[in-house]
Amino acid sequence: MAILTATELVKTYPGEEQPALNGVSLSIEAGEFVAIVGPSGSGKSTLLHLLGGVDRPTSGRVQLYDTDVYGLNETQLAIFRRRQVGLIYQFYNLLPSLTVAENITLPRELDGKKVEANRLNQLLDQLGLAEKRNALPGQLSGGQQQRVAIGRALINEPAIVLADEPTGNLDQRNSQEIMSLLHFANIKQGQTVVVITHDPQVAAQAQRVLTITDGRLTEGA
Amino acid sequence: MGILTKLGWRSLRTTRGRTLMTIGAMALAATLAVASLVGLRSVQMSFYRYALQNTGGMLAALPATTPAKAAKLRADPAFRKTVSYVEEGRATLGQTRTNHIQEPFHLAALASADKAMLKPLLVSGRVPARADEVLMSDLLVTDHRNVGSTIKVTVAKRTKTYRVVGTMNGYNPSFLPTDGLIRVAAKRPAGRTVVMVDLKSLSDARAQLKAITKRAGLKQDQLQVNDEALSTMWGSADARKRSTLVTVVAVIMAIVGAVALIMIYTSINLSVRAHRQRYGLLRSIGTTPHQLRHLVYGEALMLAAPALVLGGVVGIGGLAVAFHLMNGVLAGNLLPITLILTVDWLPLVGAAVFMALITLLAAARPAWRASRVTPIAAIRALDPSPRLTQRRLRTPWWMQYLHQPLLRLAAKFDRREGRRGTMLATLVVTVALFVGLTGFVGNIWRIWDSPTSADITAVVSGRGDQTGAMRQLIRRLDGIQRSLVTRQANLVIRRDAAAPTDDALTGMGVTLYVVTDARAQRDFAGQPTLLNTKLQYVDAKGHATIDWAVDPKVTKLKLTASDGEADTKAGRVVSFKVMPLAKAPGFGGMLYPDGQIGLVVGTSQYRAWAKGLNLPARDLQTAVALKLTRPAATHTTVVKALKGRFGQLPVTDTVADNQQALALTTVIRTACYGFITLIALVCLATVVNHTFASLMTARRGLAMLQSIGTTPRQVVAMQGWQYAMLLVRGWLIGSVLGVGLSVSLFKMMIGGYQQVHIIWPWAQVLIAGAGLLVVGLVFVLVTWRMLNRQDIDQLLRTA
Repeated sequence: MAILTATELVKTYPGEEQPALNGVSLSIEAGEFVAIVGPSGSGKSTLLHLLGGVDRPTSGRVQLYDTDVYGLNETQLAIFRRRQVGLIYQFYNLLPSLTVAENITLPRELDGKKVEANRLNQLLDQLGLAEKRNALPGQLSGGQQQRVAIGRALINEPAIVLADEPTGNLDQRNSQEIMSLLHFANIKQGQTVVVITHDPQVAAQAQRVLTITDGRLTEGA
Repeated sequence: MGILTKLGWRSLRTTRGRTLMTIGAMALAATLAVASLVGLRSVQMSFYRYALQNTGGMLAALPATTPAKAAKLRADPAFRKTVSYVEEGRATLGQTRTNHIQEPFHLAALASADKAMLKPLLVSGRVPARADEVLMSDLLVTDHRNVGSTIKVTVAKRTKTYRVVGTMNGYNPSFLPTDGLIRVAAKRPAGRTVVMVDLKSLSDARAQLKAITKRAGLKQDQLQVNDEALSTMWGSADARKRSTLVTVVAVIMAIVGAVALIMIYTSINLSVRAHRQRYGLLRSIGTTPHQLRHLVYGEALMLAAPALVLGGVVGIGGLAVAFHLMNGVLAGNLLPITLILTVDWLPLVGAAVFMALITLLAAARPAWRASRVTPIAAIRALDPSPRLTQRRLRTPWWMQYLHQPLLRLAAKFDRREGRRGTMLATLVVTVALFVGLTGFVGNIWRIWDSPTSADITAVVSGRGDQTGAMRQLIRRLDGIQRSLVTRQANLVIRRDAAAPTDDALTGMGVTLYVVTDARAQRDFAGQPTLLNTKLQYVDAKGHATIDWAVDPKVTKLKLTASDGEADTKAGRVVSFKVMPLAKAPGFGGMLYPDGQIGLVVGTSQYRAWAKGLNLPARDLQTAVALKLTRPAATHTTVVKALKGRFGQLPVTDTVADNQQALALTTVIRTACYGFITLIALVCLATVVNHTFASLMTARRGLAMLQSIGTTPRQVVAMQGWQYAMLLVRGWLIGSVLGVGLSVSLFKMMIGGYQQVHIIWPWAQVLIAGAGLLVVGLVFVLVTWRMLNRQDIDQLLRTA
């Protein structure tokens, strides 16, 4: 069953003649692990941001289950991102004044809900951060920070996890650890994962690889 | 604590330097608010206490018809204190009428326990201690009736003998009957009791008193109130006075509010700009715009709380010091008012509510901006390019005259950086308020009486012709430059077919001056001469004109002796020639040029008119006007000599009054300038805060300039030109607005009064310019230091 569908997505930035995305259509099944690859400036990140409701397309549709993502107003879109989308960035983007545990539980707390202690402990164990739960991001290594970002993305058990170059800033060992975590979430918990990457080794670990060039999907759609 | 509140709190703690700077800036605004509210409250209470002194510390007086009613009134829980006296009845002295005092007058009895109330009324002598002693009004003093005299007083056909042990000021506004006699009794006698009261709570005092009057079964017109005291507590019966007071307070708080708003808005706005990426991140993980707005409001209130405490301490401490200094000036000039620092719940709660509201208002737009940050801002850390119209991108005509490349670059940046609007507005407001308000204050306090008349005047009543004794005294005194000794009386102009007058003249007072026949012949050719003065007339539309009190063509008027309220005397038509007061020999320069008109006659002429005017010789007063060679050094000695020779007589010491007026205006001017300077400092702090924050934001851009070969000196020069363009623009626009504000306020205040000309506030404009020049130089110095220390490579690498 298709969980996420994009139809003829176009994104043109103000002042630019060439669109960053030029009529991209794709469909992602529930439980898939998809990699999107392409050269620098091809529109990978733009596509990811549009799929996650972070940016608005110039034209086109994105549907998650039956919800037309861009038919929602700002508040509904924020709640949609909070509950249905888990975002992981290349530069982690943690809040520096919140602890590891607080960063992870932030989306849930924004919903006004308490996180069950068991759930948090389990997640911290999975992420290998149980001893660092009260540390601040500034006290963590790059790999540890990215794991916190993964935890934040997974806490609400979203419909889809979108990762933009999650290993782009990490060494090989840490990259492997991160990818293992994503795979774990995908295989054991049935999490749908979409990863942007320029690393062929990362792409090779995906079930399906989409190639994007000059704003168009050229392979694997 | 919700996660967002926790986030806001942690964020403020993490960026300690910026947080402390913001609290400091907001504390300045809080100082202004607290000092203004506590200051206004303190001045209000000080003037209330001062006004209450006139009525012996009592706010109102209620007449009770029976002792039972009086007892009930005294027991009313609304009163903090009550003092009663008994009106024993209308009394006569059984002697010939003098001084035009209407008989009968009141004899009152005060309980001996309350006799301390009589002390402030004393003009001479002492307070009665025994039952056969009385305090007498100075309006009843004659040659044969003064302190030490024995008088027979008849009340209700019963005559008693009393000894006069003291005199009291007959014009004192006390609730006690100071125009008659007061005795002290061990036990309060029976009779109509007047209960003088002071309220526990001053909240809606007039309404409280009305309700008490009604409860006591009295008529509202029987209630006597110290209106002057009540008007300081918003209780004036005159709606115009109330609204004027409210307007003044509202204007002050509006200025304070506007300045505080700009200051707090700038601080919060800068903080929101600095955290743009954080807001974008929060939006990307699902924070709604509403939640972000709450985050900003929460942070603003968290900053306002310590700012209010700090501002309160500084504001109240500063006021305490200022009041201490001002009280020293007031006491040194024998002014009877003391400024009392009143820190009660009302101004403190008011300041807290005021700051909270201003903070929320100031945070509204930044909060809205934060809520508009898109999630993509989390990824794209740089501020978006300013939205520039084609007009701003084009090179304006005046840039062709800028040959220096750095100057051209500075002009382009200045033109295209959209965030200068707030800074320019703040600068304009700062300069306009400083120039406008200081210019206005500087003008308004020039309007006091300058000595165009005698330094000392005095009047001896009821003792016949004292002109000889007066001249003898003057000859003995040192430092008398000029003197004018006459006999005088007050007359009133009446209508008559033989001497028609207009409405303006009818009822107007005329002072009759009786001089020797020789002088009348020498100075006025033996003819009765009307000394004409110039008066200001204001029409219904508030337009003022200055014109002669009497048309110079008038040659006769009907005059009659004034007899208190009931002018029923027939009077007499008199003929005269008219002469401007300024040209009258001996009189010009001694009497007020805009005062009452006078009529000079020789003694023989007076005698011929006396019967027709109904003005016997015994009713003439002896008047003296003195001009001193060294007023400041000798005025006290001269006044003492007059009182020593003639006893307690009404003396007007213009030198002392002017000194007191000068002291009072100095105090008030200091307070005004202090307030204005504080406002200016708060505004300036906003500009400084904004400029430094912009400088921090611009560091990366400046690093880029350096990386492509611009030397630090060139970068500083360019920044300097940008500062200069902004400061000069703010100074010019603010000065124009400030001059306009000063003139408008001045014209509003004088209401068409034509005899004062405005002094343009050019000095204030120059001072504002000098201040901004110093600020600009400091900016340049700080920029220079920053550029020399920054790591260009590190700045260029940071996203």
